[in-house]
Amino acid sequence: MVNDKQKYIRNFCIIAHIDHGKSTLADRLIEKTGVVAMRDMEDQLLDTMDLERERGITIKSQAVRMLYKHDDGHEYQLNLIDTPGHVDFTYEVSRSLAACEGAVLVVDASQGIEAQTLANVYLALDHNLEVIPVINKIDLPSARPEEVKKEIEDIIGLPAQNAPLISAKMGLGIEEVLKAIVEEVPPPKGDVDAPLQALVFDSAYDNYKGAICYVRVVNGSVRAGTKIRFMNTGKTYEATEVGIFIPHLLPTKELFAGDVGYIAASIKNVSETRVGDTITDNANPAKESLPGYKTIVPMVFCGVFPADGSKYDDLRDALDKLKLNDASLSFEPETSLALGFGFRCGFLGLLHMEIIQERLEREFDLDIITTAPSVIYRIQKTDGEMVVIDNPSNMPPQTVIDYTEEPMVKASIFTPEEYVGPIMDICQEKRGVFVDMKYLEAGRVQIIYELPLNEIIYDFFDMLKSRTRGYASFDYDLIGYKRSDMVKLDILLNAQVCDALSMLVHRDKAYAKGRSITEKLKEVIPRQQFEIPIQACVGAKVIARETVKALRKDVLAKCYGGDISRKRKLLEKQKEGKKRMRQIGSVEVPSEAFMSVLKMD
Amino acid sequence: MQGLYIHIPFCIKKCNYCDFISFACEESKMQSYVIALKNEIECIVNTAEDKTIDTVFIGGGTPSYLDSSLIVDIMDTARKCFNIKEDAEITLEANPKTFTKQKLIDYKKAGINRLSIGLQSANEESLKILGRVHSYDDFLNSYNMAREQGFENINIDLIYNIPSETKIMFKNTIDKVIKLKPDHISLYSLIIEEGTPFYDMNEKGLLQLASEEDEEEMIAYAKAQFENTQYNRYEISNYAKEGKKCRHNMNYWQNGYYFAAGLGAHACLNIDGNIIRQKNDNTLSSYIKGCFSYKKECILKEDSMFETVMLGLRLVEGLNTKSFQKRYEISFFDAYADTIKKLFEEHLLEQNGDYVRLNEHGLNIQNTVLLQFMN
Repeated sequence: MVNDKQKYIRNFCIIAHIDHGKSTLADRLIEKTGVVAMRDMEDQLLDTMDLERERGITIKSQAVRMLYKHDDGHEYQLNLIDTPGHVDFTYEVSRSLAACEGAVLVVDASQGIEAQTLANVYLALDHNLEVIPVINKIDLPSARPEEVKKEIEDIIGLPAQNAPLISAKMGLGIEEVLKAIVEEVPPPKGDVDAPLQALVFDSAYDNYKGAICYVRVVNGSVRAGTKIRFMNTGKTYEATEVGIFIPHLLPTKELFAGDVGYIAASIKNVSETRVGDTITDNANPAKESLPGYKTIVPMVFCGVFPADGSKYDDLRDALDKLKLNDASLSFEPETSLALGFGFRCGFLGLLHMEIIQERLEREFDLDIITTAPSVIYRIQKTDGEMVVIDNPSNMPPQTVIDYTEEPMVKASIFTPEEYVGPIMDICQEKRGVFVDMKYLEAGRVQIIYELPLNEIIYDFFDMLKSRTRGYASFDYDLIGYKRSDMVKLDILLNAQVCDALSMLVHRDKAYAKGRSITEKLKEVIPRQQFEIPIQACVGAKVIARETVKALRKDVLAKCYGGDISRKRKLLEKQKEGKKRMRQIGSVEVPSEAFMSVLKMD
Repeated sequence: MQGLYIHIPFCIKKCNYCDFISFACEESKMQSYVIALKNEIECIVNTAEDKTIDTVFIGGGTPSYLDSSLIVDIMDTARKCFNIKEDAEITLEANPKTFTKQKLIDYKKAGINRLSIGLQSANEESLKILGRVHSYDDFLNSYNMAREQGFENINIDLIYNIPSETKIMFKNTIDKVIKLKPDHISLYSLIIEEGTPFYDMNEKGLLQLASEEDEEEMIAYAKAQFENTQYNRYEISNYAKEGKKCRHNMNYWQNGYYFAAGLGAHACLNIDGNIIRQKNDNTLSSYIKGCFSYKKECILKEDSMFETVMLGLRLVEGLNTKSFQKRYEISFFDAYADTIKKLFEEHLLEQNGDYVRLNEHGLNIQNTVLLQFMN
């Protein structure tokens, strides 16, 4: 009887390229099935962070249970799992997909298939999901649904002739999508009587309930009071509450095989609830955990320091709080001569890094200075030892280095064909190696390059967007390490190394980089009472030099009765700005200097 | 020592660098403005504990653009309300071409004994670039006329670092002005203020400004010529013949008290022992209706001490440490011990009897020095 219940459950997710209308479709489905009263309806309902709404991206997974009455007279329980769409979160996405049996693939009727679309479709197919293509934005004058259908069939190999043509914005064709989900997505096939296996596809921190696991129950059942065990970490807890998402938490008595819901168990920290882990019943454990579990490793690192040194504790508290909800963020204390006490933080990728920086500034009102992002390099020393470094400060001296290796990615770029030239230029500039180029439908091209990860973490995406007027899309996979001649570039201010400005660069690029950094610093470092030489060095060799001239005139020409208050306030403001400067030896450096060298190439 | 500042916000035309409160094409409002101004003078005197006035400065705008009978009117009211001393210094700002012999005669009658004439440059091109309405000859006529009418204390305002002006052009201005033997010369570095046409032009890169080296050469030339001809620098931008320092401005730099009347004018008042800085509202239409509203700020002792330093160190003679101690009941040397020590070591500050002053280099980077006096 309970097994029977699974017949009326459909677990699915929506996959799409950014801006193709994923969140809007989710909103419409929720609206149509009436889970959320109209008055509580907001746009991008499942994107709860301000940042998600503003940028139109999904960072955290969310789930919602909807009830839908099909023509066949039965009421179906549709569980939508909203997943992040960005390459930084591929592993999280893969776990969310593993929790579903089907995926709705949203393709923009005018833009067609993009790099992310493809990456996510392959991911879905890898998980044996039934993929239902849906063509969105058909209300746009530039819509070309027939061509896009053909693109889907040719490029992905999915039959698309019957794909619903919808406009999520206008609410057109939503019923069709719901119907297709019921008819095409297979029901879960779990065994309710088997030992509990629940897949953790995300977690979130709640002040009262502790870390909450978002789960898909694959086999068995779980209820409040069940002694649960995380099979990969081995930790056990007593479930204090189980329930479903509507989309806020609604406690229920029990979750059964096939259900999507949550488990709370007074878990202190989200890092104990690893995404991809399997929860089982400690008293009657499953034989094995569900496949696909991985520990997540950060790929991009940078130093994060408070602009005001006295805010170190605030920064630590803020990072602790973010970590409560984001197990993939890692950080450890770091000390810089230039910037004082701060943290070395590890991120899944660039977007993740930007998001964390922005949240520190916005949600915690912190002024932070970040150092140049770095990837993990492997350094083979002459004594046979191999060291792994994510911080330029740990680079061994050049004399003991045999060779260095850097991580590489395979980048896939989709673009209208007229931008092939500019894109290849960018990839060459970024030390890319051409792999392949395919002509797709309608004048579109897919270009594959092998690129060093280090080259794409600065401004690759910005360059790509600007040189293709936003038409190109980009996705990448890590493909391992490659030997590469990396050197440490140091910046000296008044003959003192400023450790916060050091970075590892390819030898061929050291000269250009050194020049552009020194030029940039010359602009942002204010003139002081003495002359300040700015030098870029590799080892002991100076490869670029600029000079900030000594201050010769800094005085207000007029100061009469009407100027006095204004003048004093101006000086007070200047003084305030001076407090935020960093002292490198005898040189005062504004925090903008550290940021400005990051924004260039 | 107390001053009285009176603001006249009318000009024939706004200059391209000017951010003072002044209007062109509002001549029809001059009469009613002066009526309101006289009203205001009658009002502000009520707050005065001490009505003695040592100096009056009628600034603008272009006060000489007003009908001279209005200036006489204003001075009559001021004298009626305040106790303006017999030997008071009474300055009127005047622009070339805006005053006549008759006006000068009226000014004399009104007791005005000092004129400050805006020349800015002796080069026609520069005058055009600045947006001045007069030529150098216009200035010469006006200046000579003033001398003929017996004005024995005349200042000439000059600007250096005028866009597109060469060193030779500038030196020419200095040479010409010195030959005229004015009693006082103000030489200002051009400040590009937000909200002026120059600001917008500069943002667009349309202003050709002198290099730092050229600027230094120009100012060095001016200083040398002034010194040779007995114009003593006594403030960052001011030079005077013996006994001709501007007393009204000296009062500002000694952080003294002053009354103010007129649109957007600033006063610094001593009210029950509190130092109050106040600024008049700057909406012309409501001012002429007689609505005077003031933004007041009470200056705390510590801020006042800083202001005294900020202003005193503009003077070549420096800050009078005795007056400082008398006013604040703390020694200047104790109040800023660490900073003073550091500045002595850096050879920016020096002591001369009761005075502490910045040397030449210190004056040039006065802002940087002042920051060190803030905590």
